[in-house]
Amino acid sequence: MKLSRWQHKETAMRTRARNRFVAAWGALGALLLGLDPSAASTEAAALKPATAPVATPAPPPPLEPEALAQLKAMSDLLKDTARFTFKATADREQPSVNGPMLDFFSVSQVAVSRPNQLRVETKGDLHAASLWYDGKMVTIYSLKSSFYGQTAAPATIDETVLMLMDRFQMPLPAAGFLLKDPYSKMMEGVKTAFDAGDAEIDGVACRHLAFSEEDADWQVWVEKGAKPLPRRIAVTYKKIQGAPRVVSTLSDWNLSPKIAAGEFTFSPPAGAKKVDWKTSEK
Amino acid sequence: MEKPMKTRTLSNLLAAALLAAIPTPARAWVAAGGYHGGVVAVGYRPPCCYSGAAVAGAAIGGAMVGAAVASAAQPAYVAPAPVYYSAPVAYAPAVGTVVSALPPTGCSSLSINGISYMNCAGVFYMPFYSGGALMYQVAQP
Repeated sequence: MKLSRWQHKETAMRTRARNRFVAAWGALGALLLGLDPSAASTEAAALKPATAPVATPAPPPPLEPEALAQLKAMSDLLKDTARFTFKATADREQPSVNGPMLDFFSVSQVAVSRPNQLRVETKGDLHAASLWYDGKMVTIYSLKSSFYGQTAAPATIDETVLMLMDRFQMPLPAAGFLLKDPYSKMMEGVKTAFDAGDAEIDGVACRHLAFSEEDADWQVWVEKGAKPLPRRIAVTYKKIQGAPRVVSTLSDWNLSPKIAAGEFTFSPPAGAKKVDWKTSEK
Repeated sequence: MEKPMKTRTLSNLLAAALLAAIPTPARAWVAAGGYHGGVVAVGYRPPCCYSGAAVAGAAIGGAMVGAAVASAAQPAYVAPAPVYYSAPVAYAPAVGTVVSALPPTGCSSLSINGISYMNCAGVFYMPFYSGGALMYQVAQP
């Protein structure tokens, strides 16, 4: 079973780490006291042959198998879930022209129905527009206004989400979790991956995973146990001035939601008018 | 369109979207009103403090700054600190100025040749969506 294997590996890792720690501090203490390190402490001596030099621990592999396995388990869980809903609370940093970084907060209710329906209702200071995708059309509508934008959509959530980010430049920090295979898309371009240890988010025990790419570093917190759900994602954009971060905390997961028929199809409210939805090509 | 999408990583796409949303001086609405969308940052995020007339004035004043206003009769605006005005001052922002919010009062919608506009005290704004948000561009219909 996957989990018990992780737990086993985790225990082994911690033991190794603790042994290294004890050995290193034992040797350091001996040096500080002017003693022969090989005779410093019985604990250190018990771990290392007295005559062997203190070995430098091997550097961790660039892609730690534990970190990949946990990201994969998260991905597999979502992949196998036909419909789900969650809440995403995002904090986006954006450098201002005046210099200081500004934070913009938003809260989104997200509903996914594979393979071709998506609904995102967002409230916030800057990105307060909702989305409907019903497999045919995708619509954006600011609830504060009477204007909506609409365009023909590709056949799947994957293509639609990527189109929205690429052509319509919509910042969707939790986009990876909406895809049919989050792992494969999220791992594109990843150069390092490691398991940063235990963490707790809103009372939920998680593993904290860290990844780096050329342009960005990102972290994902994955729930421990039988339901390895993503609980938070944080991305640092290293190549943008000031290295802004976007953090999105995911909560209220429901993997068997009741979603009303028609929830994914936009029906313009009375008086609403269609306006231009600019793409990056324009 | 399919192909370039597939070659870009998620982080790369997100970075581009974030960059697109980063205000630059070239995008007048930034200088104009602050980051909450033109006018909003100028001073009527609650709780606040002034009458409707003053709010409208502040709003218009804020929206205007990016549009190169120089006359002493026009209200000064220093982003991002709120600047309040004792009386509304109305003048036309330059055509092409983009804001992400309209004055809170005094606007009505209309349609000219099938295109929607908001008319706010004689200034016409054309609504459009960009980067996941609703924006308005000052237009001459």
